[in-house]
Amino acid sequence: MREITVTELESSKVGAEAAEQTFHMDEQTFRVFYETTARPLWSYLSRILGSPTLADDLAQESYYRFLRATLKSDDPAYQKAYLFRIATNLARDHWRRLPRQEQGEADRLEQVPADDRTAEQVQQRSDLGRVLGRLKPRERELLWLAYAEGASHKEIAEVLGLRAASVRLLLFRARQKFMKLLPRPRLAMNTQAGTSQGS
Amino acid sequence: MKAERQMKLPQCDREPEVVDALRSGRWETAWGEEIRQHAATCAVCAEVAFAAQEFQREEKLAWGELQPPGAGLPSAGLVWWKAQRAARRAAEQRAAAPMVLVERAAYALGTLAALVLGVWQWPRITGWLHRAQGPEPLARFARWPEYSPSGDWLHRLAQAWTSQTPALLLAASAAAFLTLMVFAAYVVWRED
Repeated sequence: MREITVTELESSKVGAEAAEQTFHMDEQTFRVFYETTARPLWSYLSRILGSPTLADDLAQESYYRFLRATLKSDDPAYQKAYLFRIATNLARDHWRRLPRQEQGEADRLEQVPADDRTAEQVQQRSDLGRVLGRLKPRERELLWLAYAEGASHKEIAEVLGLRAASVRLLLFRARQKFMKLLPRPRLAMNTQAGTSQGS
Repeated sequence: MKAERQMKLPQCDREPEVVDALRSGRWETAWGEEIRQHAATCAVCAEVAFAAQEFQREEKLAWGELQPPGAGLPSAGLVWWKAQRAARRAAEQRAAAPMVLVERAAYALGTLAALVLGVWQWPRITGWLHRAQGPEPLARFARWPEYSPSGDWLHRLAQAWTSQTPALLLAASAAAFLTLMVFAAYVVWRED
């Protein structure tokens, strides 16, 4: 068995101290931050990547990188945007390594057992899954951040590395494409349902 | 051109309000009455409301996938511990990097020195090799008064060895050094 020398112990101690100094938040603060951001982050990654398994890996990697990063502000909104930006960059790195045809929706649908959901939910899911699969990665990111996360144009710009002025146009185009891709009967039905609730 | 395109975009200032009402659940309550009525008459907000409903439904489905036990995300404590361990390992590697660099430089320089020495002394080495292959060493052994077939071979070999030219010693040292170098390089490579 390999013996641990005094030098190595000292080195380990120094390493632990360095690790503590490297992180920009303490453990308790991180726990609170993680509890509030983990599920939204995982959902975002899961849906823009189309793979829950990959979302698991990239979500963890995002937190490692986030902890080691040097942040300009302690503002929770800024920290959340920064975390999502790291995750977006990791997802883009993943896409660059993959051939386009492998970015399908197959694993998106196979990950969730159909018997856990009603037939209507499965149908809705596959509809949106198909639509997301036909959108470009940036369009998925834009739509998810705007409509699932409720992020402002400025926040979206920070996450995606765009100018805030560009977000409005890109989001509009992505939404138009999304509306065209969804089945028309459902579109009409949902618009009526959404607007008729007020009457 | 750019301004013109932006002006042509159909947009409504109440889009964020629609998304917020849907996210907060206010949309379906009496407090959402006014924004619902607005969306019923505004084509842009109706579209936004539809898209937001779809995406928020998908988000809820995604969250539902995290519910089964054994699936889903690790705890905050585990992520923290793993991040700490990764940072510690990175810090150790950074601290050890100069030592590793010096060690490798020493190996490289040692190898280079041995090679230079070998090239420099090559005539003497080849001369010795030729003499070693010829009858001279045997004749030298034969001239020794102590020599006998049943004697101490190792002792006599050592005596013969020390009586050789400096080039022989040099070549032997270089060979031993190179052997050690190869072994050290293997150990370093295995640890990496």
